[in-house]
Amino acid sequence: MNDHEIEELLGAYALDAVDDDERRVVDAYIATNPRAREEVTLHREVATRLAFSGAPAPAGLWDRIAASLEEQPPSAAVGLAPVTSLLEQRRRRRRWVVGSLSAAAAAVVAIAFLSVEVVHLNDKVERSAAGDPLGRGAVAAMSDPSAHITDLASKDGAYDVTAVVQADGTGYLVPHKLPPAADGHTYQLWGVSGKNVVSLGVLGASPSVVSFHTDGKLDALAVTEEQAGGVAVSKQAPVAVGSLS
Amino acid sequence: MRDDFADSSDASLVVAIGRYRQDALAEAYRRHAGAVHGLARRLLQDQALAEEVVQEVFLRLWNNPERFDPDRGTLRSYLLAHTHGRSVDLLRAEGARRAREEREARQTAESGYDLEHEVWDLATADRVRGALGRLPDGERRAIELAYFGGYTYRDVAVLLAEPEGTIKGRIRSGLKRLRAELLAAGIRIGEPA
Repeated sequence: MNDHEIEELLGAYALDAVDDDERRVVDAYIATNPRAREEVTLHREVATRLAFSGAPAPAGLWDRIAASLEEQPPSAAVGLAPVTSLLEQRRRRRRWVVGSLSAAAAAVVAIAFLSVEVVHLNDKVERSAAGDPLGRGAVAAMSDPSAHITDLASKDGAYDVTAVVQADGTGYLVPHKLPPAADGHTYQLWGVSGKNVVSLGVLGASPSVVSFHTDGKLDALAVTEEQAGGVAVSKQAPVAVGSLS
Repeated sequence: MRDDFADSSDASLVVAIGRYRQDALAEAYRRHAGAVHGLARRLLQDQALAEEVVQEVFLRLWNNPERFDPDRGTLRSYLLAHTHGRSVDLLRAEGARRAREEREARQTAESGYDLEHEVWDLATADRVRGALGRLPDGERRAIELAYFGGYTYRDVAVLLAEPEGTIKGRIRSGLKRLRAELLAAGIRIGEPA
């Protein structure tokens, strides 16, 4: 699809009137084309006016929403923390920094509940890393008694990755369940230390075992799916998070 | 409790939601739930499903407030875009589509069902309807079927017996023309409704 054909789709895209393949193409296009992105924003604002309604929502609906908030506090909710680099945090407006950091801290609290069974993880890593050039390094790191090991998992079980970080900052990421990223996307690894979240590397769309390095102690690791090439600051919810605490 | 946020901007509400202020979410709900519910109800023609979508949209805002970017549109636009996307996902499931069409057929038979009747009940809505009515028929029908019908442009092309390229062009040009019509009618685009 050439640029002209993609631009002809912008109206239909703004109204969710394209199929999944076309949506991915337009997603990638507007990610790098501010003028097209602005056009989509304007189309959606027009659609907002079409949807305008003075009618209230049904009575009792808010009570149900509020009740579900109490049942599912944010710290344990599906949506996890935004991941942002320190540099970008400084650049962003203050109000967003505060919100993001609060959410990041909440994610760390949430994932602290995840238990880690090292023996079980060793078995998983040996299976997943077999035949991979970096696999031996990962398996060796697993046997290092000073290494920190964690399982990065999503709540629905769709994503499952083991990470091991040695005392010198050398780390390995071993995917067990990591579906290929969408066309034009990549996975990206982030480290959480206190209120700081930094990128540890762009992993590619379909990573096998990867190594990374980190300076200093980390509380948690997170994997997000981003536009190809990765980002300095992520607005995506992590697909998988694991605690190193 | 509402008074804390009654005068706050939508952007400020979202920041407060990021700090787990439930009263901020309540204020966002007070401002926008009617529109969210109206759109979901109109698309799905199913009260229970529409309420599920409303619940999901506001829980998503609660869980992921950082996904709202005030530089890329209003909060209402953001909420309605998610509402529309979720409703269309549900609608495109074969069962839901069939059920909706059966309900629509019944309503048409029983009460002369009028798609435009349900939500146009305020002065602003009258002006929006007027602007929509000034579009060429081909553009208006394509936009209505895509937005309120939840159809893809390819489906719309089949329904209107027009080439696909014609339909996607009409949707785009129609939205641009509609924006100009709304502005001419004194309706500001990109500001809180």
